[in-house]
Amino acid sequence: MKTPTLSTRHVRILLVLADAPRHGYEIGKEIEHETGGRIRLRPGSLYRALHQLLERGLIRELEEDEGDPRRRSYDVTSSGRQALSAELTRMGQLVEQGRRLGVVGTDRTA
Amino acid sequence: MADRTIADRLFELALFAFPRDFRDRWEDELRAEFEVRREDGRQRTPVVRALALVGVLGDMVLNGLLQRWAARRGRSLWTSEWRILIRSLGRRPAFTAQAVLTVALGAVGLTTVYPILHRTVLRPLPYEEPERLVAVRTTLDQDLLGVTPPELLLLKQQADLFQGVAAVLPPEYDRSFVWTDGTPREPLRALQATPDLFRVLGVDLSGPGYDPSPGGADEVVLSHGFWERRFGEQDVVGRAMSLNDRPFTVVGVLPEGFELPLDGQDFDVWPVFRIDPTWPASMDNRVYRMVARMAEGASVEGVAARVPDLLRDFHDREATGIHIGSTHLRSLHEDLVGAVRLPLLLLTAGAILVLVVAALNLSLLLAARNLARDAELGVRRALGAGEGRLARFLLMETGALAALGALGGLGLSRVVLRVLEAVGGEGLGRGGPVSEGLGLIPWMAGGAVLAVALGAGIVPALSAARGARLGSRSRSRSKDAHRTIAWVVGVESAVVFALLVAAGLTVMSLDRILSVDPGFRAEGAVAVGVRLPDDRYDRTGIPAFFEAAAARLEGLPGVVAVGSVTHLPLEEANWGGSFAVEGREGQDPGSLPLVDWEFASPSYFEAAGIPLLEGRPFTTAEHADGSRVAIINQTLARRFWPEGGAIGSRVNGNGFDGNWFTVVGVVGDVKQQGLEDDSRGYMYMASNIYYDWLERQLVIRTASTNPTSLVPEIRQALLEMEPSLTIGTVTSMEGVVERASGAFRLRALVFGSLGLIAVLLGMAGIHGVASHGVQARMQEVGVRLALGADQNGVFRMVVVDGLRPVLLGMTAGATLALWAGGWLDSFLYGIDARSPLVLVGIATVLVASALAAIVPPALRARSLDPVELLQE
Repeated sequence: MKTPTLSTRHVRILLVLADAPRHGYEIGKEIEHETGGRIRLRPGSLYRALHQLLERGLIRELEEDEGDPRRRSYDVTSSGRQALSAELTRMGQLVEQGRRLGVVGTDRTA
Repeated sequence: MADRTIADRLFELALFAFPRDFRDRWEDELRAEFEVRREDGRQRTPVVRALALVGVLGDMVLNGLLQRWAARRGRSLWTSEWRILIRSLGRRPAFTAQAVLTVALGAVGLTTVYPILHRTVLRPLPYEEPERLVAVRTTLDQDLLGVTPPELLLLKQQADLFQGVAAVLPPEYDRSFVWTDGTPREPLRALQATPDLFRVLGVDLSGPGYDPSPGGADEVVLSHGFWERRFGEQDVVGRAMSLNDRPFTVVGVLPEGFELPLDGQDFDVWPVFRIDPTWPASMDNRVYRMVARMAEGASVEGVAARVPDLLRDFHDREATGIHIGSTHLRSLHEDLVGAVRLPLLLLTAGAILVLVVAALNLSLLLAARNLARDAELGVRRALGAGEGRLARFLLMETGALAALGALGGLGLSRVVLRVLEAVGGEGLGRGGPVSEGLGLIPWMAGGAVLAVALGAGIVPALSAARGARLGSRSRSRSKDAHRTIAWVVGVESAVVFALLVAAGLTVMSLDRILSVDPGFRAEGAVAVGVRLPDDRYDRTGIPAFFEAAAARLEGLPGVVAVGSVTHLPLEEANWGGSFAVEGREGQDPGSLPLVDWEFASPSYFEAAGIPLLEGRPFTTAEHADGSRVAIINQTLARRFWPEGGAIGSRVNGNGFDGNWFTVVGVVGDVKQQGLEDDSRGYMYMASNIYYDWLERQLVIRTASTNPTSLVPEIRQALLEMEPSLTIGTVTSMEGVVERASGAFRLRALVFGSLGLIAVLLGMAGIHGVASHGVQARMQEVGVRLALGADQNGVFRMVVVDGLRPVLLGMTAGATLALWAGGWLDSFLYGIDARSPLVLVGIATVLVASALAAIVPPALRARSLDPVELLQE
């Protein structure tokens, strides 16, 4: 059975959650921060992506009763970590290949 | 505050882009985020905030729709149903094939006939406000004629009735047109028209059109097709064109799609003709076909009520001595296509009936199949499929079968149309071949088929879905089903019977028409239409050339006799007038019978194989010097000389006033106006020295069974004698007879095929029902046999039960056939639409085939072993 690949958006969300459980708004803010403000996920995109990740069992909802009841926090599941690591490995291989072929400069600055 | 409310409302709206389950899960979080973002944006300018809002909402709508789409794809209930469906149809290929074939056979009639009906009859004529265009026709002795020039001019003056009056001169009444610019000279299909024709029709020509003032140069308008074909669409307006060795100026090209389907013909060129006010209102001038545009606000009924009085007053006032049988005005559409409407409507009705039979059959097939898989459906239902879902599945199945069948029918009809075109030729459609340029029309017919077939599936689907419970087959339900099935069989039998009657009648008509003696011997003879160049032959030169040509051709090996005549038999064209006998002139000219006349060369009768019954043929001397001698046909001789003695009498046809012609011979009747027409009075004259008529039909009798094989030598010999000779149509005389029966062939073919399809479908249906009925009654039969019922009794019971609805249906069908007979009569020949012979014959055929379908299962029932049956 073929597992559907993760989109870049999914990878970014999983990365942020791998660091620490967060709720939706924080996820968006963190991604914005990490990308230097280049990526800002609007709510529609963000929550649909969360919905997809939840359905695929890659993240889970944390049960907490403190704070705003409308704010729910999410954490990466173990299969989420596996999927993330597989995807990052795949990306790393791609970057490696790019370097070998000289498509990606080693001195490239962000 | 207002700002908040608007933003909130927009948020609510955008939220609805998401599917419901998504909203239920995420609405809170989305809303919270939305509010936080708005708090964050407080410090920004209103423009930036508005842009951000638009961005957020747009993103929500987009993601919402994506989510919906993904949800649908993910659930893919439909997809899985289709998959089940395809598998289930594939598992029963025999059933699938039978159902698809049933629909396809039921469809092919409608998808073939409806496009023809549409193209020929229903499609409006391409004129401006066509409902205001009318035609005036007169009748005499059952002949539908045109109007005379003085009548045309009179009607033209009635400004309160007509805004414009134009006329065309049908080609069979006047000379033909030959394009004389090139070699070889090319005969054209020409329709002469008065200068105002295109203005009356409201058709835009490219070019100035005819000059309306009298006395202008000869002008010609080209059809779009001819212009495209022969001039490659280059600019030709103003260019000179030589027709019949006379200079014409091209004054316009007709728009694409223009047509004036006079007797279903197409035309290449439209030379102008101008009505001379001095032309008399004589019988032989009663040939102009009037095309008029009614005045603004005038109604067809109103104008039609006035015109006959106007014409009668005119003839009384001018004392023309012309007797008008009746005058009637009708719409131009009716005038041009009315004659083919009834046969085409009847064919369409037949095609619809076939579709009905197919739909009923499909219904039976589906019902039987659903009964057979009652258990399967019951399981599906027990597993949670609701009634609606089961019904939907069954309807999807019907839809798939119907769609495949409709497509099959459409495909078949393409082939059938081509076959019909090959058989019926000119009798089909107008404005080019029917199989081309139909656009969406066949698809409309296909859509109708689909709808009917789906309709046929609804009842079985619903009843199967409702009844599909495990072990639910109650006694009353199966009784209901049997009653319904009996009804279906009855209706089918009625329709099949009516269709078979129509098929039988048209096929018998064809048979009768083919056995009509045309009055000449067709085999071995070939006819070549020729036309001498203008202005080179005088009145004695023309017959002299044709005599010389006959002598020359008779010298060719294989040629037996060569004659010439002005119109071929069965050509439906002729000259004519009223007939008078010397010494009997006292009769009122209006009451004189019409006589048709031709000019014939001495050897024409021998070449055409027309028997000479009395007297002698013309002599070569009479032909050359234009002696006033005549040969009459048998009908004329019997009518005026019932006791004999025609030879030596002197006669005259209108148009030869004061010149008496001595009858030298009597020949057999020749069908001139069509095989189905009664023979009319005919008079042949020795040579035409009265008109400089340049055209003749050469009839060449050969010793060969394939006379057209001699045509190259004939052509060469003729062109050697006169290089400027135009050689027109070349047909074997057998071809002439075949063409004359074309309409009968076509109808017999179409109705015959419809009847055949109907009977095949009907028999398949009745057979299916009968065997199914026996199957369903096995238990009952077993009980009866076990209780001592005699085997013959069981056999009889099954046969009688099977036959009863068929017989009842046939009675209804016979009623239908008798009722519709009046319409059929108009295109039958030699047989009465209510012919008991046909009715009884068809009934016998139907009962026999129903028995063939019922007896085998009945025999099976008879030989059943009750013990075995009851153990099952």
